[in-house]
Amino acid sequence: MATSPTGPGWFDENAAIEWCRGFIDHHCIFRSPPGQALLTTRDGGRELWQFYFPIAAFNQRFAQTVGMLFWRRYAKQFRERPFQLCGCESGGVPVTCAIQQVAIAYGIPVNVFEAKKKPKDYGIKNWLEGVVAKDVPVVLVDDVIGGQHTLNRNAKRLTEFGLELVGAFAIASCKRQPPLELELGSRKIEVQALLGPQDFARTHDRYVAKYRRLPQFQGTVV
Amino acid sequence: MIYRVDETHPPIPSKKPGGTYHWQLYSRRATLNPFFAFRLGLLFWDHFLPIYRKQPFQVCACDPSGPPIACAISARATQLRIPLNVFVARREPKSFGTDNWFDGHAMRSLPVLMVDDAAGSAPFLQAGSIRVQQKLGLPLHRNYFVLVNKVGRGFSKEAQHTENYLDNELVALFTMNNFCRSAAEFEERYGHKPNWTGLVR
Repeated sequence: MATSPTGPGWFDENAAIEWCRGFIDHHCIFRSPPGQALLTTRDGGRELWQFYFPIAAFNQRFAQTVGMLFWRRYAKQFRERPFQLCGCESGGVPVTCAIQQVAIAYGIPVNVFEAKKKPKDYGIKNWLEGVVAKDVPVVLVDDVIGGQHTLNRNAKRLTEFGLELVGAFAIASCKRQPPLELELGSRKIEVQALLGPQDFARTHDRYVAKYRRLPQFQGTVV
Repeated sequence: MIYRVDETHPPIPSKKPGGTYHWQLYSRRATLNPFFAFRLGLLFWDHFLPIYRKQPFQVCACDPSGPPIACAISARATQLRIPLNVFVARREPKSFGTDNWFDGHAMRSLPVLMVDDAAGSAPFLQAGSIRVQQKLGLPLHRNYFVLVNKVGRGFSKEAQHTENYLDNELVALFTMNNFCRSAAEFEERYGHKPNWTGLVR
């Protein structure tokens, strides 16, 4: 990288978003073949497609690109009032780490912690992992937003813990088209998502129609 | 990253019902810190780059403590222009979707270096490495990598569990001899009380 993630330079934001979109569409969506709903849902139903973001979040180029895209959006806010990042277990954690590691390479330290799905059942029985600064505002991070339940739940919990939430970020919203908001009582928090559901050919048929070839899911399924 | 019992920090419940711990490692207090993660990535490659050059490998991080470590390693690899594939071994399969045991993409052609925060009495690293071999049919790298090998002075032989990792060579940045486990030991070494900072919720 020749330039800072926040400054002018060769980094083409639109091209970077398009590269991320293509990576996700081609590699990170499991699509059931026609006539077969091979995926199960949390409530025991069947599903035709599902996003698997760790394939992207652990990819070196993808992680670096998302880190750069994040700081293009948030650098001004961070300079004016530094914040810390909270990654939602488990998909949000590698995304926050990528954002952090892009920043630290330029000498910008940003603290990260993790919000767990449930508290540890031994030890200090903590909901949060990492060192949480009490007086530093928080930007909540996840990999993908579905029904927004994870973000809403974590936003409410962090607020109950006395933390100030100043934003939320995800790579993509897979069901609802951005712009999105979190409602915290009377406050509305902006949720930034790089991509929305219309950016992807989520079903097998749509993928074939769009790209004229069969989808090649890259995830390891065992 | 160590919780230590003192006058303001009570003993904490252990995994065994009714038991208590007088100290506990909270590795993500370190691995989610930007400076620690940066140095961790450099320390990893300081050791493994010559090995990687002879035989490239991929990294499998054990959920949930391994992913921040793998991210730190991967970020420094990017900076050093080292191509590195990373995937995650879950503790249990995902309960929906494809019910997968692994997150990410495991390459078919490379040995797998297992990464976790600690090698100790809990067999998560060992279980992950067995699943990589059994379910993916992939060869393990000749090393395991952890931040802390939980061995050292005062551990009973049964608690050391080094026999779990005898099939490969365990590379650890630290053992428990590098740390003060009690508040008194900490105060004697550093001249002040331990400072367990931050909001604990």
